[in-house]
Amino acid sequence: MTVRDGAGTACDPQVDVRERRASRETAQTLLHGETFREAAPIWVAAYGVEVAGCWFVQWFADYPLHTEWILQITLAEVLGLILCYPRAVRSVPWACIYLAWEATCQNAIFYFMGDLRIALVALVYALILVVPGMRLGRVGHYLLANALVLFYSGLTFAENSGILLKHGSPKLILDPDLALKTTTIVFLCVNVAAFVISEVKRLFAMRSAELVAAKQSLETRGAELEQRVGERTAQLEASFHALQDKQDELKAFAYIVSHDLKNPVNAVLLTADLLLQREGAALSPRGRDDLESIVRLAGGTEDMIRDLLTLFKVVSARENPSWVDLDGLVATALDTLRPEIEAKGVRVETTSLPRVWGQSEKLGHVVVNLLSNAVKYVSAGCGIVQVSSAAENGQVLLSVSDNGIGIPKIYHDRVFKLFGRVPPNEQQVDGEAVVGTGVGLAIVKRIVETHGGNVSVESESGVGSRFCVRLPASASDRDDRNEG
Amino acid sequence: MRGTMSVLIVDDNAAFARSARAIIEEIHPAFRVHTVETARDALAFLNCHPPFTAAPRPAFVLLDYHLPDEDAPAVLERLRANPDLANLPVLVLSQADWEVDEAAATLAGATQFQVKPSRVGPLRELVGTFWREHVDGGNGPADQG
Repeated sequence: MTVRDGAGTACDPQVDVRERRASRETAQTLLHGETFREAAPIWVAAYGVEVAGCWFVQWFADYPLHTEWILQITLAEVLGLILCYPRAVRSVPWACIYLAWEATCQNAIFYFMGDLRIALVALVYALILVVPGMRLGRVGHYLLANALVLFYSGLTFAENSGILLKHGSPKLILDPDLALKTTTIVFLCVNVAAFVISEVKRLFAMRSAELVAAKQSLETRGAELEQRVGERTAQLEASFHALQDKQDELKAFAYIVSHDLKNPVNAVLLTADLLLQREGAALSPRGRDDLESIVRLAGGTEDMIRDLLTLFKVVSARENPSWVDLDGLVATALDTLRPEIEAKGVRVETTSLPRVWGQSEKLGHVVVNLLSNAVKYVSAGCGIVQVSSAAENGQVLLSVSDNGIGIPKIYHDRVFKLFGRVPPNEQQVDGEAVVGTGVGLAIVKRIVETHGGNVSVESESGVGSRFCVRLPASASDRDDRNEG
Repeated sequence: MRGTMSVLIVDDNAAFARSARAIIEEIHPAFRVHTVETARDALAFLNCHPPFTAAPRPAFVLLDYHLPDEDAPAVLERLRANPDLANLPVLVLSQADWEVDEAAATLAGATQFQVKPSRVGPLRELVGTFWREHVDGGNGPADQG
C-alpha cells in the first residue's frame, strides 16, 4: 500500500505555490507595498517628517539634538531598504531582516533624540512597525511588538548604565526612574496596539470569512439556477422540436388528405354532375332525385375536406403578432360580405372598436366567420347585426349579435366543435335549410384560444344569437409599457 | 387553326379525364381531346416520341399537379426547356390551393394554376376562359369554325 497523505501534500506543487504566494504577500505588507515605488512614498513621508521635525526643534526651539546624526541614520535606513527591498519583498525571512535593520536604525534615531523620543516612540513603534506586522499571525505579531520593546529597553539600559552617552535637553535628561516609566509605557502601548490590531484583524477575518461563505453560497445558488435554466431550456427546446415535428406531420397528413381524398370525390362529383346535365331529363323523377342526392352528398364531402384544410391552414399559419385594429378588420369583413348583406338587406350596426395585440390574419378570420354566420342566419329584409366591444375583467370583449333564428341551448357547445352543426331541419331561414359544414366556429374557437382568449354564445331559438370573443388585454398592457 | 384543335389532358384520374374530355369537346366542336396518365407519356406526346410519333401539337394542356411518376413542376421544367414548347399554354389543376404548390408550378412555367373544379359549369367556364385568354387571343370559338 502506498501512503500518499503527508508526503503527497508536501510535494503538491499547488500547495507549494500557494505557500510561496502567501509568504510574498506577507513580506509585501511588512514593507508597505508590493513594489519599491509603492513603498517609497510612505518611507519618505515618515522619515521626512521625523527629520524635519528634529530640525525644527533644534533650530527654532533651540533644543540640543544631533539632527545631522538623525539624518545620516535615516539615510542609512533608507539605503538598507533599497538594498534589501528586492529580496525582502519576496520572502518573510528577508522582510524580518529588514525590520530588524529598521528597528535598529529607529532606536539609533531615538538615542540621538534623547528625551524627545518620549513623544514619538510609542507612536512610531505602533504605527510603523507593529501595524505592518499584523500579517505575521497572533504569536508573530506579539513577538515583533515585544522585540521592539526589548530594543527600546536595551537602549534605555545602555544610557542609564553609562554605556551610551545621554542626549537631549540638560533640564530633561532621562533619569533612571523616568526611563523605567517610559519603557513601561512603550511596553503597554505597543502591546495594546498589537492586541487591538489582532482583534481588528480577527473580526475582519471573521467578517471576510462570512463574506466569502456568502459569496460561495451565492455562486453555488447561481450555478444551480443556471443548471436548472439550462435543463428547462433543453426541455423546452425538445418540446418545441417535438411540436414542430408534430406540426410537420400534420401538414403532411393534411396535404395527402387534400390530394388523395379529394381526388375521387372530385371525379364522382364531376361525373355525376355531367350525368345529371346530360341525362337528367331522360331519367325518371326518382332516378333524378337519387342522382341529385349523390351530387349533394359528394358536394358536402368535398366542402368538408375544403373547410378542414382551411381550418388547418388558418390555424397552423405562422404569423407575427402586431397591433390589430378591430375596426379595420370589421370593415374588411363587411366589404367581403357585402353581396350577401345587400342581397338579404341586412342592417349592420357597429360601434368604435379598440385595437388588440394579436395575429391580424387570424383575427380577420374570426371576424369574417362571426359576421358571415350572423348574416347567414337572419331573415331577409329584417335582419339586424350588431358589432360592439367592451372592457371586461381586464379583457377586450368583442360581441357580434343578430336577430336571426338562434341556436337551441342543447347545441351551444356542439357548434364550436369541428363539423358540429345544428341539424338542417332545425335551422331553416326563410323556409330553407342553411348550408354549411360546421367548421367556421371551430376555426373561431381555435384562433381565439391560441390568443389566450375564449369564445361563447348566448342564444335563444327564434330570438337571435350573441357570440362573445374575449381576448386578453394583458398583452396590450405589456406592450403599452414597452412603447412608452 | 381551322379544322380541329388538339387539347391534351394529363391526369391519372380516368373518371375525371373522361368527364373533362366530354365537357371540353362541348365547348367547341373543333376541340379534339387527347388524354395521357403519366408525366412520361405527356412529355412523349408533346415531343412526338414513341408511342406518340404521330401526336398533333396541342393548342393547350390541362396538367394535373400530382401525377403517378412526377409532379407538374418537373414536367413543366422539361417542357419549357424545349424551345418549341416554351410558349405552350399549360393550365395546372390541383385538388387544393396550397400556396407552395402554386408557387412551384408558377416558377416552373405554368400559365395558370387553379383548383380543379368539381362541377360541369365551373370547369367549362375555366377551360373556355383559359382558351380565350391564352390561345385564341380574345376571339370566340365561333370564329374558329
